[in-house]
Amino acid sequence: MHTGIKHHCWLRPLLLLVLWLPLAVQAREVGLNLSLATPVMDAGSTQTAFIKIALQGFEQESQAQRSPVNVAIVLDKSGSMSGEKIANAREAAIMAIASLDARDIVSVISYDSRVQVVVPATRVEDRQSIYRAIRRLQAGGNTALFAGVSKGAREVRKFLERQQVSRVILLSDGLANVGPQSPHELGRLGQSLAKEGISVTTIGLGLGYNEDLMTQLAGFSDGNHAFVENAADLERVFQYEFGDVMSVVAQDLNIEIRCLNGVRPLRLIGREAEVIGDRVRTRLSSLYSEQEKFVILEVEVPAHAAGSTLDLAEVQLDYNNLALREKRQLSGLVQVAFSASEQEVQQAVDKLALESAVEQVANEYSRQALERRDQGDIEGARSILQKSAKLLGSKADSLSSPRLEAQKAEALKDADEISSEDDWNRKRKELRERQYKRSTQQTY
Amino acid sequence: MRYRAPLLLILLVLLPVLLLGWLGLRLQHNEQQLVGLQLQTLIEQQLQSVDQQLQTHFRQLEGVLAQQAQRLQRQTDHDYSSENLRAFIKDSVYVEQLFVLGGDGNSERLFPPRFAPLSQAEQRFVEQMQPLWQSPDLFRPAAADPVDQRQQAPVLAAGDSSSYLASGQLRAPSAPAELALDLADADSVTAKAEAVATAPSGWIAWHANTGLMQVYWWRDDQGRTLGFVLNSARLLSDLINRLPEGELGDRQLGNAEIRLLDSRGSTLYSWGGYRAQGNALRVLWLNHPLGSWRLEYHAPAGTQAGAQGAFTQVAPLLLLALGLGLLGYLLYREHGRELRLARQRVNFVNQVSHELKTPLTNVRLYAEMLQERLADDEQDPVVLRYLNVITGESQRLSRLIDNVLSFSRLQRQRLQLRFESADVDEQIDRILQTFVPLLLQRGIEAEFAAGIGARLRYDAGALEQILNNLLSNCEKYAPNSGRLKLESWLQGSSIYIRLQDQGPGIEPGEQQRIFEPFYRSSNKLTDGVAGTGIGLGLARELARAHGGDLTLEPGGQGACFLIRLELKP
Repeated sequence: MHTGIKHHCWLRPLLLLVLWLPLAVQAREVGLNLSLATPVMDAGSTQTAFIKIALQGFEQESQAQRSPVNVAIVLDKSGSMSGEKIANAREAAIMAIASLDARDIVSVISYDSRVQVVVPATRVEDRQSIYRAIRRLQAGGNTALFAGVSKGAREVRKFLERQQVSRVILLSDGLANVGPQSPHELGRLGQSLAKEGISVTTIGLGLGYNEDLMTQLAGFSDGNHAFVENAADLERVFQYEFGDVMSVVAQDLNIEIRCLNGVRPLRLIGREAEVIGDRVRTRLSSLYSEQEKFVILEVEVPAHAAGSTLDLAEVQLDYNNLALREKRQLSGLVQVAFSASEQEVQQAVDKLALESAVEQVANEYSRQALERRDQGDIEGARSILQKSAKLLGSKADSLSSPRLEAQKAEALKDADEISSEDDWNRKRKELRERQYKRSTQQTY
Repeated sequence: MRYRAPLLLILLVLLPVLLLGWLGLRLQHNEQQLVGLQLQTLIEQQLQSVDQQLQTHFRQLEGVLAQQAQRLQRQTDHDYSSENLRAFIKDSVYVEQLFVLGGDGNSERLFPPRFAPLSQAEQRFVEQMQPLWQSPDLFRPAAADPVDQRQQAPVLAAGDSSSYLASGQLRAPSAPAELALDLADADSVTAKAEAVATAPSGWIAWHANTGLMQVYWWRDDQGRTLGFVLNSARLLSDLINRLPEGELGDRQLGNAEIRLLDSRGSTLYSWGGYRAQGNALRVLWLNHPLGSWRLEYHAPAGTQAGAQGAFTQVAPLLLLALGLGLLGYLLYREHGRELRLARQRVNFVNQVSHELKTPLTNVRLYAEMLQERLADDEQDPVVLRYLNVITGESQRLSRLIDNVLSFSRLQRQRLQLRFESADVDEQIDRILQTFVPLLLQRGIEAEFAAGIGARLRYDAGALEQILNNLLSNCEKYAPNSGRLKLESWLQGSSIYIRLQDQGPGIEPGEQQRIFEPFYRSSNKLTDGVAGTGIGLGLARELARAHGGDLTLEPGGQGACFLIRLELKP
């Protein structure tokens, strides 16, 4: 009886989830999966909990039914790109465009100290003239990155439509030195573009670019980011990117979380969010076919008596369904039960949710470590990474998760390498890329 | 002396060329200044038209924002609920933050709410904007707003540039892309008209620690102020998108560059075909609300047109110099030939004189020998008289030839003095004696007052020639004049000999010219008298060659010549 009640208690959220499942599995509808890392919590004390809000992209039925894309490829042709780099970039762009068809719109912009619209926004019909224009690109000059992105966005905007995938793909190998050059300013441009439904993917080539700027620009508009050390890998990255672009099934995913019953939101880990009182808002630009993206919200739950249940938060998702070509809304509720039994609490743990939460928390540690390192506090950075590795290690054991185990190894390796001066430039780019990919669940 | 002719000719060529060159340079300089001025105006107009394009963006943005403000007002029924405003911010592409001020003097903040939780971004925003909200003076109605005052200037400039466009020198700016906004519904169009007509609004350029922020404020009919804080990165991006790029920019500007610079002086955007560092040819500060930004025009300092101009200037000058040079050369050649001919003639005369001298000497010698012989035999006086005439005339002829030879030597600067010891008085007397019969015939009575009486070293030949010339002149030009007085004395290291006749003398106007070679004074007296015209000049040149002089002394009746000869120590 006693246990029965308890079972009943922690089953309720599960049941609720089960109730949502039919909707989730319905083809051509995004799945909204809400879970709590600790569905049963210790009674009698104030504690924190991790809510995982997962969005599951449905399967794109066929290539033929994909949404048209509107892509601007913005290529750096500054002096540092000369030689093999620009040649590889040209071929990568051409290869990528080859995978598009007549539904799609493409434009190519190049920049050095000047910006040049190489191919104005056009449907991919006369491929040869597009390729010819790209092949004429020669490297030389400075890096007017901001203006390049601006003009790229303008080309996309010429045919802007909510039902197609709009993206600016920026390739740069150097520091922006004409026009705005701070990550903050580029980030705000990304923010504005995101509001129009344009996301910016940034590809950093070689070791000369500013990874903070590139991740901020991508982050605020929720595009992808990649660090490509070797120009020969550009083709592969472009293919991944275009694969992503062509498999978008939902766009403009706005998540609003309202914490109930005195639950206080602490932070949304890994993503930009707006927290006002008990409300948390965040936005994802796009969800790809069969892809799961999630956000982790850390909340503070006030003390409750054992045996009681509590509604923690309401989640509402508004998004643009590209398959149905209409705006959809989903919502869900997260609940928690309280128990006095340690064992019960342990048993109830939602391993997947906790795994995700730990992954993100450790990722956040990694960011903090990088910040410390930037301030010159190498010891502090290392100790943060070691703390992170310890957390990952303990959770990997308790959850028997190979993923966390791998991440722990990574953290330990980072802790080793973070003190070395030699290869710090590359290491920093790798770290930024990894952090970015982990927090945005980038597909490649 | 020798190079005078070529020097003169060179001067003749160079002077006009230099003069014309200088004038040409002046002209070109003026022209360049004019072109520079025109270029400056052209640049100014180009920059103005860019500023105009940027201003257009603000005008359009203003329209859009006023429209959105109206819509917000209507949606919320003057209530401006936080919910609505946040939703607006979330979707607005241009606006990063929004504030609403109300109450007395707009000092009360209605949004972001004062008594409700704020997001982190909002908290930062409130901290940043606090000073702005405390200065309500900035929110002045449109009439006092600097935007509208300045609006006139760009419009005027646009008028200028459009008239310039008509001449086809400047490409028309491409039509600005319309702002991307989905506000096509009919009611908002009418709302826009209202808003523009009635509501006070304006722009504020606000310097916060993150840089320049542009704030558009709009006052509703209840006196509340809505402030739209623009996303400055997006604003810059939109402004850049209005400016030309790539080949279009190159074509518009040619070999020049326009740069847009922010308040810190760093380049935000640049276009045009010219890429080099250096000072700007022209700077234009932008109008409000981009007051601290500026446009710079860069171009190479000297234009190619100038180089071409210089060539077209130099080419005619070169041609002129060439022509004049040729002319000068021809003249010089002609002059040379003349000189050669003259020299040939002189040589000829010289040769002939030499040829004449030998037979004449024989004639004189034999005539004198005959005279001596006949004088002993006391022959017929008529024969003696004839002989006297023959010797006299042959002496005269030999003097003439001596003169010619000396003159030609003088001309060739080959006159050489031969100093030898001789008695001056005796020599003078001897020369005088040879002239006495002639002088007596002409009614002149010569008397000599010798005052030296010593042997001295001097050139007896030169003195003889001088005296011969003076005496024969006297014989020619002062007939029947009575007494001819000669006197000699020694003074210092010079011999002085004075000749004074009682003839008609020399007119004052001619006193200088009589020494010039080939000059013969012309008056009643001299008419019909033969002469070569070289005698006096030659005499003076000889005296001067001897370190002395031959001068015409003033005063008294008749002519008075003074010979001075420097003695050889």
